[in-house]
Amino acid sequence: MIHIENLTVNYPGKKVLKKLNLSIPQGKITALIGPNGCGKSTLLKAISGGLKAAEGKVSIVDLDLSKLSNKNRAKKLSILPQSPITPEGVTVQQLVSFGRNPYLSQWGILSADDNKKVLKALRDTGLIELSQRPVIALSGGQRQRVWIAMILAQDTEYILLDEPTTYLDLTHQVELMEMIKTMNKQGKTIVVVLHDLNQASRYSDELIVMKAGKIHAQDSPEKIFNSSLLQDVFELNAIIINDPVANKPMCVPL
Amino acid sequence: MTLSFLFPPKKLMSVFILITVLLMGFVCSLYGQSEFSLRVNDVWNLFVSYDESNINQQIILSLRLPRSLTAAVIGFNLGIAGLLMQGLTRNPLASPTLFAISSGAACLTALNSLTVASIGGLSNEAVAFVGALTGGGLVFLLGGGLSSNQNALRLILAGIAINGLLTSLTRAVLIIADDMAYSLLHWLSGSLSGIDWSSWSQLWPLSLLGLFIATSTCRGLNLNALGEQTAASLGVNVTWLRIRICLAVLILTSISVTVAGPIAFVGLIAPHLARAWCGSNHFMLLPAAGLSGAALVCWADLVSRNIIPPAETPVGIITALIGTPFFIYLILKGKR
Repeated sequence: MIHIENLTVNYPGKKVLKKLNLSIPQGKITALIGPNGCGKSTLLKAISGGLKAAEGKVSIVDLDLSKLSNKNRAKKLSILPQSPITPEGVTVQQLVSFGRNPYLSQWGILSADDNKKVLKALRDTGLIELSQRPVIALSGGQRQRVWIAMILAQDTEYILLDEPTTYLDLTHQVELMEMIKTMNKQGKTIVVVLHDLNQASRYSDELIVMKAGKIHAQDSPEKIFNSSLLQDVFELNAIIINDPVANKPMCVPL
Repeated sequence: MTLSFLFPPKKLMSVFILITVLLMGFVCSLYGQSEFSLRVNDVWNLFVSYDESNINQQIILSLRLPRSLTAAVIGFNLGIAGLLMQGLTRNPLASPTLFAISSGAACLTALNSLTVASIGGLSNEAVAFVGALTGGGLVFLLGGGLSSNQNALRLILAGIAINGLLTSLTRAVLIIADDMAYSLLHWLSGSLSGIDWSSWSQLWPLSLLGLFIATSTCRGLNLNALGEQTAASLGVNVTWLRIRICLAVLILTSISVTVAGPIAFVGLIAPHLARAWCGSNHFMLLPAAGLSGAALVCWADLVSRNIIPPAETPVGIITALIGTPFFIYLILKGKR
């Protein structure tokens, strides 16, 4: 359970998050949605410690995250940023083994256990054949899988993903979301920022809807994903139908 | 059981070739271009059968050896300083010269040589360190340096501006200095001509300290290549990493400037050579950049003595002659 109390985050001259209070449930997929600039990514970064909060605190169960060192936090919680920098000359296997960094001693020697976890992450994401290729030479979809594999190797209880599907074609989007679902089934708590509302509704157990730096609504998609919410938050005229495959609400803009 | 590293060492062959190139330059600069017609045999004999009464061996031992060693270590220092700066800022143009660290150290050292009582009673090394800190600090402040949304172009522009300011200040010092203007000017272009064993003993302890700190940042630099936020989310203490990098860069650059003046562009070129040879792993890049820098300065020193013998062209002019086209090439490459 991630608890957020009174969280305020400022960018120079602008309040992005205003005294947020929320709890993110354990063992579920929680999707963050909201219009551009509403503070979704900021919230994710603030949870991960990548941004400093002006006020308030983020805690996991009773553990105040701001009191942890980066190393100890990296053992609890991992984050995939929106557009991570792919360094030149790094192979898939190397990048994935970066995920083990918080567990290593000063000289960066991987133990047998570390190697096993890297290998498992590569296998789970179908990257074994590509493991010796430079990441920079891969397609967008493959590259995103490499980052997911790195997060898997980091093996944290909580995983934060910032718009992981944005630059992918539909096939790779579905592939990625299924991968996230599998991670969740293996016991990971997942918080994901999504732009595609139907994707959010289909894959999440819990929706957090944000508007102008505040939480507008939070509940299961079945309960809150309706046309009045879309009107209020996105100023979008849409009707809601039932997704015949996932049996979840789905919006069709008018 | 085989050891598996987060960053496995590879390409040892490239490092081996670099060492060979360096050694060749080193040995050539021990006997090359001398009024005493030294031979490579003299170098060999110095190490194999040392003879105290042999004038050629004495020249090599007391004049040439300290100079060549100093050239190599200064090149090593500048190469590593450039590598650390490029790794920290992820900006391929970052280097002690362009970010005004060298000119800051040079400016304050020149100013210090003017005044009878040195600034605050500090040693030359300390004055150069403060100068380097001031120059580099100003560039980073102006360029929005370490904030997360740093702008590569802004940093470069700030570097050019501060470099200009510090260079004009140094010129002013030159004009005031008058009687010692020539030797100061020689030193300011980066010169190895006055080097003896005392410069060597001034150089090596701080260089070793800088190298030690630099080595400790390799793993952090590898992860920093993913961006500061990702590095932090993988458990890197980014602030502590930056402090160590800045400290190493300042120490390595300021001690080099104290001994031989600002030798331009070595810190820019060496890391690029290293990357072309050895990939992207900083555990390999660190020795490779150091060796490239050392080889560069050794060879440049050799060339500098051969242009208009017996007069010596300052070695910094040679490196600048190589460096400027390289700099332009990097800018053109970055445009594409």
